[in-house]
Amino acid sequence: MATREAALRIAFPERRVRSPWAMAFRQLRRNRLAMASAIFIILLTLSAIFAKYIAPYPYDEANLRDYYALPGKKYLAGADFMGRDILSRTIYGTRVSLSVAIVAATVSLVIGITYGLISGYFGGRIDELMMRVVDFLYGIPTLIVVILMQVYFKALARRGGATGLAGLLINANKAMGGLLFVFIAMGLVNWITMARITRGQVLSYKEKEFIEAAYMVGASTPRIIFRHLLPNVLGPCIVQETLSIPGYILTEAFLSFIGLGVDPPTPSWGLMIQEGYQGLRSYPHVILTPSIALTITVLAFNFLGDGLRDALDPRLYE
Amino acid sequence: MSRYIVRRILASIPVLLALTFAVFALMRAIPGGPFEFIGDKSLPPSVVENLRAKYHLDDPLWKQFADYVWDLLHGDFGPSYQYRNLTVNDIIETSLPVSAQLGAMALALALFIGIPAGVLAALKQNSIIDYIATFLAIIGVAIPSMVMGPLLIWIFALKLKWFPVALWGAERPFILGFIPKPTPKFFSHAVLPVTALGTRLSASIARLTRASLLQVIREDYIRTARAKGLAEWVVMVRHALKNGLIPVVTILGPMFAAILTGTFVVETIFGIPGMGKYFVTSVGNRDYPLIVGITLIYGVFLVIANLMVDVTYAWLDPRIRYQ
Repeated sequence: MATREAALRIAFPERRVRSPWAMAFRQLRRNRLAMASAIFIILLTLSAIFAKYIAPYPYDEANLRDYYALPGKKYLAGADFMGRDILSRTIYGTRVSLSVAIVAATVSLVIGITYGLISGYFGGRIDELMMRVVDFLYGIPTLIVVILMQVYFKALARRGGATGLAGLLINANKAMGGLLFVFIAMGLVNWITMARITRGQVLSYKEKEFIEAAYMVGASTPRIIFRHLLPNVLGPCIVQETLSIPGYILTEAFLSFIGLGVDPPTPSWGLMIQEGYQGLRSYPHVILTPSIALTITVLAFNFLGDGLRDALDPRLYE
Repeated sequence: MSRYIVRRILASIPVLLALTFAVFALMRAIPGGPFEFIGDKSLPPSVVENLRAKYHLDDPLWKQFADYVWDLLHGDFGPSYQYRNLTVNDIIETSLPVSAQLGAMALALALFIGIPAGVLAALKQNSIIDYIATFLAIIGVAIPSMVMGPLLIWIFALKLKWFPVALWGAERPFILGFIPKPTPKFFSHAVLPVTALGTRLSASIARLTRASLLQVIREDYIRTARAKGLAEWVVMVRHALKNGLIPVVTILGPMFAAILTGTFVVETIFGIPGMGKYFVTSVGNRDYPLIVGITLIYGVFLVIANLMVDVTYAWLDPRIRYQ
């Protein structure tokens, strides 16, 4: 980022050059679709945090007499097969989807960027070894691994009585509505792309003069990596991760759909779609709300990711 | 070129082995064997012992694995634990062709609709066609198959009654083992599932083709070709398209994976007796050999598909070969 700023100041001495991040943000603001998506995501986050106050009913309150109630005054979006309010469950469902997005993205970013930074900076044999490992792991079909991990942990939890680390994890899992392993699994399988992008960026920035200058002034290796390389590397990584988030959300919905995701009654949009599908012929309204929620959320992250990618594009002119 | 191929094949083998072992070990590590309960009653311990001895569940883990790999190399996947009178081979034999048909048709749909749409949108950029195509593509990418499936069923099968609601209309025996007879019943059953599976893919292919072609059209060699006096369509097909399709080849690998996992959902929704549905149910019933067998087949398929994609990409872009 330092070089870009310097280059811009030299090239356009009469323009006001802010920091690259600020300029990228300005570019992003012009993209109305991306801005709308960002606002929508913020609203989604707020409703996830304050779900208790927004939702008209708790998500597991089953009034069995009202099963499959049509949308009306009592249940704004109708009720599912157990008489639970669909709107409330959808609102609580944002918690699941957003936490999946955040945790998986963070795990993937942290592990991937660290790996890529180390591999790219040190180069040579270390780099080759690390990339061999990555190539090997890349060939493994990730969804299958996630499914198998879920099967294992669910079976373990069903058994109960697991002690030690497994027991601790299982209890933490229960506290999160059965999602801890899904989070970790999804972040673990996606860090490879992040590592590759980071490494590519590091390789191209490693030769630049400002890195050499920092080295000659006596900066220690960690300082060079974190203070100088990292900010430049971060941009494409964030874009890539934002575009991966719809994948995480859809994978979680998919897992919940086939029964390997959240434990009922925790509401997940995938689970609600599966439940709604059972009664599709006679009560089509049940499947409508979670489907719309899922689709719009995925769209929002897609638009935001596209907008970020356009904004952070290395363009040296406004 | 052949060195590259050999290198890639050699790199795939450890992946396959590791996958086999990982799946195998995981399945064995799950507590609660398959023989402890029938229905709600637990079996008497002596019966459990005999069953375990029969299926060699008491041997040390490495021996079980070695036996399993040996059987695999002979093409034997072992018995199924939930369908007691069937072997895994039987189940795979009946379900794999169905899944293959579904997947292949979805892939064909994705390519034959996605690529032309992308090309058209790129050629007529910023026209009405472009806007409509881009709009449809964005919507298509966002709607997952688990939403698209019920939506299609509701509109076209329940309300309009144009197509049957579920099941797969292919009659056995298949030609050559997997090609279905092209009866009208087959096509009418196939339309909705294939559409549910394929629209998302065709949308992303369309977007990718359009973006890549837009870039290619502006290249200098296209201007040269036009300046040489070549007809526009020759320029497009012989020069622009060949290079423009390279990015599409690169995403073919992840696309195979997406089709595969898409079949889980689509087969469950439409009640199609393919491998995806068996996989989902066998996970619930803890049918170890079936889970491992299907996972292996998926894994092998994906590794081979990635290999072919890499080789194709190296063939198209010679710079890749020398890495």
